[in-house]
Amino acid sequence: MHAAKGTRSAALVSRHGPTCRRVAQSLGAAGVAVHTSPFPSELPVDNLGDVVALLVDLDVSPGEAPALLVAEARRRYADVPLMATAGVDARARLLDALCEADVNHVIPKRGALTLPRGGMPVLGSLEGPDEHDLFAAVRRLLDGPESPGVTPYLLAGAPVHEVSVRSSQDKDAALESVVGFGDSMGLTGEKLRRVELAAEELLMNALYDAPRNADGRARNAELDRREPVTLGADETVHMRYGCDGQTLAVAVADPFGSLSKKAVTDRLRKVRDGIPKPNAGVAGAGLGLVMTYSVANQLIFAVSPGRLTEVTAVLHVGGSNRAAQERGTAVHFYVQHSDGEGSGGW
Amino acid sequence: MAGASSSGVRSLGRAAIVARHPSTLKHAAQALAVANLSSRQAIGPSFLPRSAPGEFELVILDLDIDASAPPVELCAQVAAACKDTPIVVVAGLNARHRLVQALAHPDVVGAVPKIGAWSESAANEAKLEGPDEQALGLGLRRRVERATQPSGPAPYLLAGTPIEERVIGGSADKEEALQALLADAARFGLSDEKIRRIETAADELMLNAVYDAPRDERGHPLYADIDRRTPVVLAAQAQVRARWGCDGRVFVVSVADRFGALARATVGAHIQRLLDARSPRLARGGAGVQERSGTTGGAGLGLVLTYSAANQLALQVVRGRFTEATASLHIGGSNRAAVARGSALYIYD
Repeated sequence: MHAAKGTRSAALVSRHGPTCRRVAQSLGAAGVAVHTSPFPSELPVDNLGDVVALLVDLDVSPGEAPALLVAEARRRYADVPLMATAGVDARARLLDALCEADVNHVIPKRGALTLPRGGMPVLGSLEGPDEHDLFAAVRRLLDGPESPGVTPYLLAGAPVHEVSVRSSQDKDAALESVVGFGDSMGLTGEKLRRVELAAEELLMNALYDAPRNADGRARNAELDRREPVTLGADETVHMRYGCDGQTLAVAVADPFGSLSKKAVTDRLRKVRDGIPKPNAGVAGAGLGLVMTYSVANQLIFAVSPGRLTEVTAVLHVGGSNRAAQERGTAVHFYVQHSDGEGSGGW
Repeated sequence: MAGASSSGVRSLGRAAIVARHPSTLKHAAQALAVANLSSRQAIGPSFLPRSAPGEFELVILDLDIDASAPPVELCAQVAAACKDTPIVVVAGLNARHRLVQALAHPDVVGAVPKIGAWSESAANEAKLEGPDEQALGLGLRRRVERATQPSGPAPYLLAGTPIEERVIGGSADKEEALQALLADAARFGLSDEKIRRIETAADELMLNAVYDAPRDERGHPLYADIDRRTPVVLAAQAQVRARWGCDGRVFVVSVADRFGALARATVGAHIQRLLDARSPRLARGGAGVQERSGTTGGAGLGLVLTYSAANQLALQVVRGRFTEATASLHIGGSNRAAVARGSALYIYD
């Protein structure tokens, strides 16, 4: 298998027809040629040109631990951003891949979450991963800016609103503006609650969990969330949100860059292992992130250590709320290394 | 202190919506919000307030409010209350037929099927969903924004989607552009049926722009009556701009000419040929979406074919300056599902 020099390629491990088609379409649209192998052991090791992503369909071996499957694929491509998709027992296996392996992007297949947990589905009932999700993820890997806000997840030209936040009081006003926006979009009930919950948790994270002292230690993380905080003039948090009629996205960026993938996966393990009961107002449990994961259809973390963290929640608001929830949650983690060139960069 | 700002939003305008179907009201509300329009609901045309031109940016009319009434009659009732106000019709019951019929009314600038209503005719409203919120929202937003330049495919695609562009200076360039577009589409691993739909839409739009759009200084068509196999070379000021892009879910092709000769009535008349018991192919006397002057008798086959192949067809006209036709085709999921989404039509003039 050969590719012209300079051609951008991706390697896909899958033998699920709809997955192969959707990946080829989405990555092809992003300018990336896809080379497919049915097993990790059969991945071509060279001549693929500039390999920009390695995507593993965990359904190729549903009985095998995701970390093992991924590790086998990883041996062939050492420094390429790794993505995983799954339909069989999707939520648990994708979280396994994210938490226990060096996978930075997990995307459930459409229809996966309507399957009985642990049950063997008829693979014909599964679709591939969401095309827009894949497309946006790969575009961002290729050349995304470090803080694009919500734009990559909405149709071009969709109006984007921005709010600056420096204090708990500002947070309340910002939250009101997002909820008012959702309300103006005709969102009601559960849909509006999902938007509110995601926005509030992202803002809380930026105000309480993100701020660091000069020595890099968490400044507000141990505070009761009901205790007001105010950030410095150069520590302003920016929230952006927009909606194109089908997708509503909220992004919150702070200038601390203190979030690590480990912190995220430590919290997401709680989803896999069972959510702990919250203690009112107590910080640090990571429950906010867990709740955001449960209401969003995509959760995107972009971190430039010491400089910037942007967390974006993408929510499907077209059709019924139930259908949106059944789409599941993709998670993407982008880390910009200080030299800008590190492995798994944007 | 929180500071708020937004980009790309015009001041809040008003729209009226004539509907009773809960799902349609819900979907339309989301779509109107995308266009930054507040809405006033009426359960029938007779409940609309009398309004002066411009008071409402547009009226959304659900033809299912009276599935037995002729669509043009319903539109006329709306027009009587809201004079000179653009009407966007939506329908789920006998959708294809009734939407096309509605295009005969001069105020109709949009025809949008409800989700799932195109290939299977629902017996009652209860089983229907509303129109696609995203597509309708975009359609309304474009109308409110009133762009004075060709918008191209970008509004239909995720932000940041790469756009390919070719300038077409004649029939040879047209062929080269079409092949480049098809080569792009082939890279995505699309099925043959999807490729065929894309090819049909792109070919017809380009043919129209090269053969039907060019006019002489008196406004008469230059090449409309010649055989499409006859090579033509366009003057520098008549060159055509073709753009396309794909975000994995939607493939969009836009073709713009520099004449701006297309009229709303012509579009309606051509599309209504779909209702003719005879195939539009039988009536072919020259393809084209451009307004024909005199008796050249174009069948508008290109427009009909493009409309049938596309999930959205948007026609933007700035008279005397340009006409841009944009066809948006769903390529995510199966081709059958894409075709079942039906065809929406928007005219921006």
